[in-house]
Amino acid sequence: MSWRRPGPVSGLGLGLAAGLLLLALASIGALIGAAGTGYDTASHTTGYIRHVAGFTFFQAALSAILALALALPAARACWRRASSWNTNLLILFAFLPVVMPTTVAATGLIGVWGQRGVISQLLQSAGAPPLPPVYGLGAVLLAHVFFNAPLMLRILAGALGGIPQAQWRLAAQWGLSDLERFWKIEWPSLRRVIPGLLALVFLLCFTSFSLVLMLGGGPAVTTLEVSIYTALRFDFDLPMAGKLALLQLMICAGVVILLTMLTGRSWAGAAGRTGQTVPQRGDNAIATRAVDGMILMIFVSVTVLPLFAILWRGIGPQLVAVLAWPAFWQATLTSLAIALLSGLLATGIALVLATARSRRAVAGLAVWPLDLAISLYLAVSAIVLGTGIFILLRTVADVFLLAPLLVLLGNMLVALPFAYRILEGRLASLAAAQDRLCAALDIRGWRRFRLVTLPALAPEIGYAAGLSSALSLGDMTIVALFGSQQFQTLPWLLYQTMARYRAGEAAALALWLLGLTLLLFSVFVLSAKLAGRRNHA
Amino acid sequence: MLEIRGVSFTRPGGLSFSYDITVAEGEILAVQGPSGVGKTTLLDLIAGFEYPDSGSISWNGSNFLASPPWERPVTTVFQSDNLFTHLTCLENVRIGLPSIKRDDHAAINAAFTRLGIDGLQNRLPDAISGGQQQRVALARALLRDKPVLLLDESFSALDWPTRQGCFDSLREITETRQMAVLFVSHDERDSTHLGCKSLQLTA
Repeated sequence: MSWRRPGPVSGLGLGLAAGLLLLALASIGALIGAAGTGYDTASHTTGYIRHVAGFTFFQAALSAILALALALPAARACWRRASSWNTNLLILFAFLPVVMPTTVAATGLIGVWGQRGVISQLLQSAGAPPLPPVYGLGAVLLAHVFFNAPLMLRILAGALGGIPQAQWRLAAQWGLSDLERFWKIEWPSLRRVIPGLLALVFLLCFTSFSLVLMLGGGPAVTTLEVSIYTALRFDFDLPMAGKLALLQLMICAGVVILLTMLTGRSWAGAAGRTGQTVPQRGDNAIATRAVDGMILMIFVSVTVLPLFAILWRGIGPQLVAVLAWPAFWQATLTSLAIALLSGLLATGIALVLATARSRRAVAGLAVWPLDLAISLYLAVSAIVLGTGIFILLRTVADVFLLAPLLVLLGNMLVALPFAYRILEGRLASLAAAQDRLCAALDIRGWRRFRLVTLPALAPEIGYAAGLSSALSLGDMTIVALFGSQQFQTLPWLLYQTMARYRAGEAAALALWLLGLTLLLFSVFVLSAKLAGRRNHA
Repeated sequence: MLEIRGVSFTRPGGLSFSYDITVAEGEILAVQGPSGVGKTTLLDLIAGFEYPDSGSISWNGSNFLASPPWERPVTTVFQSDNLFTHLTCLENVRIGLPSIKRDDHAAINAAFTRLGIDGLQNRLPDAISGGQQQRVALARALLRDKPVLLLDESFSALDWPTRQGCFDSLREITETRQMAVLFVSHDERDSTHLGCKSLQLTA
């Protein structure tokens, strides 16, 4: 007999998990079915798949290593200079790529590194030739580093901040050199997060779609995701799309298993606590300051300059011109509606699943069905899921007619693992801290959820809803499969504008999309904070 | 009268404890002993957070072992984490009271005054000291009006003069309300000051 009972939410969570598993398995089943039909063993097909898979793997691995190579020294420099306002501002800026739509980022990167970008203009004014066009492997790597180095910076800075103050003080007392400090004090903490971080960034780059589509520049630089899209939308080669999607799924599943083994369930964890910096020997030496300054300048040029390029190029007469497009307003309304709904749905479902997990865990019941349902959607990337749904539904319905619903569903499912991880960790810690107290005070069921759990969880709920909505608002993967002239979202409109080489209008659209994303994210985060701040028993 | 008869309990690791204890109404029993002898386990068994392998635990002859924690005639003040950090001290007290008592502001304010924490009602727990937090939790426990009060090293964070003040209030309330109090403590001065019986648990 136990006083820890899972309650009705456990059944609801299991039901939802079963539904999610069923949908994922149906999609995978559809892919297997499609891959099996008209099987083509021609050597050029096998060679093509091998080439695409090899390139996808190569660019993802290289992107992860390059992002770490930039983020690690920057995190150390930030930590060393944690008290200065400009470093804090940099860490704040480093959050932007987390919610920034990929189409916006591509516009920003072209604005800085493109043939007519900021750097080229500076070079030309100095009499040097301009930079070559920013397309191909270099551009893809640059974009992946832009997105992932800030994520790594935040997590690595968090790991440094989690080192006990006493160790920093001892290092200062012993007068350890920078290298000694790195190996003896910092590395033991960093090595716990680096393997998981590399696996996570590898996965994100492996499943990257929009950036490769926009910056890849041709068939030589194509990933599995882009090949699936091409096979489905242009060649209508379902067997090929099925094969590629299955291959993508298998590799991603392997990485997710590796990720879980390396990091447990904490891969979406926020940055750790940040303690106070203890001044160390050599911190203020001219050489150290110069090196730190150079590292931070490189980091800024890669990650922050594109943001300014979006602002600089987006504001102007082209913004007024874009505002007059009927398609622009249509796309804005569509994007906002889908983002709001999918964000709220993802957060609501994640909340039920995470609560069910927490209640089942404290009652000593199995939680693997819930974890499996979520992990599956991390392995099943947006394009794989969309392809599965496309193949599944195409014989029974007009998939393009159902586009709004499918995009909503796809966006919600893609955001679900992130929302779940954000809520699940906090719910587990709340359960550990409050279970006995609540039982002792007879605070149970709905009353406990309303008065105790919800206010304490409000910031995480706001963050999960904000992040899910932002991801949905910026998504171009699902809409690329189901979009049409009749159904457009802002990222899709931006992509099409760029494809027509209307750089000015594209920059204005990018600025608008970035502003909307930040606004939506902030509204969720701030309103949840306000709601959680005051609660009356 | 709280009666713990022939209660035995084995931890998953194999460590066993057995108890035979009686605490009368209006009586305070200080439970003492080195770490690991089962002081907190005893309170957990009475509160319902652990279940014994055998024996009975009853209040005035009624065995309440089958009841969940919230239906037992017991209230507990834990060693720490007694308060919800997002609620003010007043809200922390009200949330633990039966609905009929939640709006009895006179009784709530009197409890705050009696324990020397008047004026802290609208503060958040993070804005007051550890000792003050424990007194807020004690105020709530007393207002819950359960006949058995369990204190698990609840005053160890308090300085000695503050602790003495709390003990005086505790002694007075125990006598007036005829409560049975079990009080886990490491400090022998506690039982001396309270002038209560003490139970020395051994390994």
